[in-house]
Amino acid sequence: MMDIRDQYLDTEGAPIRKYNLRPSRSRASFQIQQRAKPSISINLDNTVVQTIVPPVDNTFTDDQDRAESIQAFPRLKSMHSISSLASRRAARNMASLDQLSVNSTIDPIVEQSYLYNSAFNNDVAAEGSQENGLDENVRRDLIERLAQSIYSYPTSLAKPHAYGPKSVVSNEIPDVFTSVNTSGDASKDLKSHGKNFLILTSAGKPIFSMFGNDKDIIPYMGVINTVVSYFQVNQKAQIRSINLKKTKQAFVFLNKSPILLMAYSRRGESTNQLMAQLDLLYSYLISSINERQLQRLFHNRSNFDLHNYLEVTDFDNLRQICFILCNKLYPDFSINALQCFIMRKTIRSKIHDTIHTELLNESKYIPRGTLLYGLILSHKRDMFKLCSVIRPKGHTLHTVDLQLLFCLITHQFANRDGDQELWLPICFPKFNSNGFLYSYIKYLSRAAPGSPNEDTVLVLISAQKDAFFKLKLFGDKLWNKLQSEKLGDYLIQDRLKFRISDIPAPLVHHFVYKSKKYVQYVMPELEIRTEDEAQLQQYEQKLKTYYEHLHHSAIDDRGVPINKTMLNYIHWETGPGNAQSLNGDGNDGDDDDTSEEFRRERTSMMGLVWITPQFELYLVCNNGVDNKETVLRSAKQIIEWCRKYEARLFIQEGATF
Amino acid sequence: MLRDLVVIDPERCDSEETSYRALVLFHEFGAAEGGSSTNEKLNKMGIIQGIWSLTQSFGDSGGEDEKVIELDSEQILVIRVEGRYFVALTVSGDQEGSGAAIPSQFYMGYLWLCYRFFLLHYGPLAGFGDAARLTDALNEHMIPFWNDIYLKPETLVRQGIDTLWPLALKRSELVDCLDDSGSASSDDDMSWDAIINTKLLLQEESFIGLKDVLVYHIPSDSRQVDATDPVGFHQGFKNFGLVQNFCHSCDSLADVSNWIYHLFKQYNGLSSHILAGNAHFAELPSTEHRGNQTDPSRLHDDDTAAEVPTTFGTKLLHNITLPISFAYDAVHEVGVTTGVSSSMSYLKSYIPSWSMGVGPRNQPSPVSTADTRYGYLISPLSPESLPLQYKMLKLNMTYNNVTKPHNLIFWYYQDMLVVLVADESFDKIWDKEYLKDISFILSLSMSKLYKSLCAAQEQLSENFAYFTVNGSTTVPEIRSSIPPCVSLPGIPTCDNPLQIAIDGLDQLLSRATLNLNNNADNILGLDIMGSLFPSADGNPSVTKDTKALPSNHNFLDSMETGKLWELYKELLIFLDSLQKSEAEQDIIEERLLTLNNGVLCYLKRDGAKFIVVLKNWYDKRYNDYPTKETTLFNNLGIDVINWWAKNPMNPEAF
Repeated sequence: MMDIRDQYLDTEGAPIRKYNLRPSRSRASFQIQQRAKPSISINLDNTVVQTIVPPVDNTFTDDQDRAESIQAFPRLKSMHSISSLASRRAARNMASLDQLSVNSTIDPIVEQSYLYNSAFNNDVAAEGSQENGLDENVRRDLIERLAQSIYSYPTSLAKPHAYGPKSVVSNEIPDVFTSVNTSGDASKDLKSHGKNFLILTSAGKPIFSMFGNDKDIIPYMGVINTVVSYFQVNQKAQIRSINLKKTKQAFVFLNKSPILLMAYSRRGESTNQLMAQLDLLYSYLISSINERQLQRLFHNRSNFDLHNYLEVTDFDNLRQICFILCNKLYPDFSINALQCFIMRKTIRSKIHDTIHTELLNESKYIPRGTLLYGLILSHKRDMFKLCSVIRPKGHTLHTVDLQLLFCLITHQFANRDGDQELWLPICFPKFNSNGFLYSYIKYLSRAAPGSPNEDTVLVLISAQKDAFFKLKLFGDKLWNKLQSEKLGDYLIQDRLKFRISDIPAPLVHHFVYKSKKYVQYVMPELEIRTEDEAQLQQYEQKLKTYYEHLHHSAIDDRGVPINKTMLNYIHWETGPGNAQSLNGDGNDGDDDDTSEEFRRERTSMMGLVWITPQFELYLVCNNGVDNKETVLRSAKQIIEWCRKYEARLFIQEGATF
Repeated sequence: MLRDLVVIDPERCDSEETSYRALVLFHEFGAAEGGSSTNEKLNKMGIIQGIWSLTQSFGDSGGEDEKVIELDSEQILVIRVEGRYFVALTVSGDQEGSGAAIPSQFYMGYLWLCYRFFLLHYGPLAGFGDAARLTDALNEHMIPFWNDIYLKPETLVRQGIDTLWPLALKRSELVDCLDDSGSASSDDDMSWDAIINTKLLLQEESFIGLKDVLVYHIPSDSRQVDATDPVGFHQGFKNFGLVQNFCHSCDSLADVSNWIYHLFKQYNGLSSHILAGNAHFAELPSTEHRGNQTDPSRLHDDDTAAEVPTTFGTKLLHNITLPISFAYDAVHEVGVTTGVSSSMSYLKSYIPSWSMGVGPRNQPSPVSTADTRYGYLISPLSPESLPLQYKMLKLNMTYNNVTKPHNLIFWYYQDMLVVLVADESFDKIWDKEYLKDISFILSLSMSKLYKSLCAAQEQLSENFAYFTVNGSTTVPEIRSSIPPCVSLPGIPTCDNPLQIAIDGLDQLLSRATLNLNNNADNILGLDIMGSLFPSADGNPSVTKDTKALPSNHNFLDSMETGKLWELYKELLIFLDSLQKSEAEQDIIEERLLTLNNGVLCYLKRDGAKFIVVLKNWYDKRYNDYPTKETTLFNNLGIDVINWWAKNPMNPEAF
């Protein structure tokens, strides 16, 4: 046991033995370049897996290949979060603690801010130990060692003392931002919310406010209305924004007469970002009552009360959109792109071919012109991914229109049975803000709670009011056909979803890659094992804030990148004085025994944004990474990877007709 | 383009009927078409206050004292001073999409500067009991201030991004190199600052009375005179600014310094008239200007005048005769009593224009050769007949948290400006013999300084430019080597139909007085500092003059104005983004931005400290890294690391 342990510490023998555990370099499936690669790639929970087995999913080898590779190398299947191990360790007796600290050459680390103490899943552990050839004790110990101290530098294991004492990296990213109140408690004081959206009519009547009940809000609505109309009347100008530099507050106005919208934010967002968010809210309103209808309603009665005209679901949807805008990691809106369901290129083209032939075959049921657009979506945790697109040649739908559609679907089906079908009139504001299109929406499959499968949704859009049965027929036939071709499963199971550890990009915690050509983006699965919705949300919020800062550092106030090509790094760290105070701080909820031996991890976060005419890449590194070159190398690898698998990651053509 | 300036005191009105009283000042710039009606003015006042209170209600706005209201075509900048007064400036966008539009941050910086300068000259707004007196004072101060900017908007960017920190002080790094080689000058005689300390400040007769001596290095910038010579005699912005002061408890240091810098940048130089507040721009009809040879009002009809404007177009012209000042005063009087001071334009018919004699250009300039020019700019030595502000400037300065008026005297030695701050009760300052002694001591000290500088400093050319703000000191300090933008692309500066009208007294500054051998005997007491004639158009021997301080420039100095301006705008966006960052206060945030124009930009915020480093990343001279661990900062190269190691803001320095 001790032997194995020593292999993974700073002993001189480590590198040789370690390489024995690694896959041979000749394997084509494992394409990490060997030059100065970290021997351990640390990424969220599955450090251990990454260390020992070749990454499996990302290589997209054939199944047969994969099976071989599994047999060829010892494999650890359990992927417990390190935090769970850390918490388990705390329960262990003191003797083993001493043992650990004696052996380590650096101070062990205790994470203070673990969000997720997920239960240690013994079943999985047992399963894992049966499957691999390693002794269970050895394996556990290995995990623990790694959990304690993981060296971040590429050559660290090979040359332990080359550059003096090493920084330590954990797989947890700290929060460096001022905390934001994310609770949806509307009864609280208006000032307690870091962000708010107000919608009112040009006559000053309230329509919607994200926070604050109508009674409190009405006076402000009056003032907002006055301010907007003052400039409109006196100076023939529109007020865009009010910025308060010191308190970082921003008020942004969007006048879509007869509707006025205002956003308030003290999260450092730019005018342009907030303007885009307001536009989305307005687009939502238009999607449920189109612009022409709106004008008609207000034409004769300028003091028309739209609040009463809208339905409860509309307000719920607006609230939902606001929530997504404020608190969720939902890059769709901020980088204006869609996420795509990853699929093997051949499968995707098979599906598209099937759809195409089905369209041709069934043309007697569904005459040309009936179907405008068709979408197959996969849906999980309020995130939609585009599986396939059926569209006329040369036409695409605007991302905002699709995003609105997604919001609608989420909400419409929230309390419905999966078997139901919907026939909804929707106005796609960017397509045609004056008319409705009709959407046939059906869940092709619904995953049972807890199952790893995805919900799959079929959306067929038509301009004809009475096309329901035609579309329903086509939808049913299409789904039957797909299933008979054994393609349905590919849509239900997200087989190729990947984690950051599946990509040869060391030290990266998470990234978002947007292909400008396809207006689609890809990001790894969030690796957080918690059932607690609040923790999950907190984590998402944190990542979102990182991404927002990265995004904001590269664009100007009009929302255009400052340069066509930009490479920006942002680095956050605690000051030296601060770290000292943490060292000496023993009463921070720690046991007195441990506080002497463990020191709190220093915050050192690095992010990168890379914008070129072809792509945008945003990435957040693990804590402790401050080497710019390493980050750049990882970024290049991500880009290389994304380009290589472009056909899988993005829908390139879709089924066109 | 400035539209209007409004000052509001909401406490003055107590009812709907008296709301007009709250309007302390309302001025529209330029040729307003009829101007606004009272009702429109009141509307504007109301909306400013309305917006202010609306924005208070959504978040905790403790200490928030500035707001930027952005319309599609204009911006309204509002600041609140003394917790009561609103000062609002409306700026309308210039031609759509033109690169010349000045970002609002510069206007905001100047709005604060304007208020700070007002404090220096008049004290707090609340100190005026009488509303009419306040209006008068604002009329006298704010309107000329903004009118000059209205006529010459590039002033806003001439101090570079320093302007974004209006409460901070730009320090010159001129003497930093002396500290390193301090042992070299520790011979028998004293160093330059020791001379001032022992022979002046600590002398029995001036102790306590003479509070402080502020020494500035204000090199006349050849760039703005001759754009074809990009580097020329340029000394680098690094050395511009306050070299040293001798009292450590001065809280007004930033304001006084910024005021002097502003005057210098606005009028391209410093002279007695400028310091006394008697120099302002007046707009001349462009036709009159262009046809300058035939201009009947021109006093000097020089044959060579026609070829002058390219280089001399923006030079200040000291040219007025006594009767005109009286005429102006009369007009001004009328302007003040009517509450509107657009009277400046009346002047143009009274003021003869006169371009500075060009003759001397043909001869070797005697100025910058053997003699060094020094003397008083503002002192009691000036003729009795001149108004008080030519003898002594009274500024409200704060020492040891006590604010009271102090008497200021200005003295110069070539490119050095020395400001003597005396207690108001210190009467000896009026003694002419004493002043001559001071002048002598100062000249000793300055020549010593020049000598040691020439010995210590070498020609330096840096491959990077930096800008740092240290907010952790009592007076925030700026050190910067990013050259300021001297002009805006798209706005022609050379053929500008502007002239400075000296609405004061007879200049009488002729070649004869300049050539006085004994500077201290300049009986007129009026002078203009710096070399009058830029070396750029002098003959080469002038630039080789040993009196010249070694130049010190970086890669940005040779950048074209247009590109520099683009860089400025990008920098502003980055700074804005950094300032908006939500990171906790104790988090150090660093950014490294690679721009495709070949500039590597490093920004760091560490509490109250800001650091900007710009580097030319096409230049590969310094691309070997000192460590293998390439942090964002180390990536900038060895030269930047060495610079930082010696920087006073670095906690690990020394």
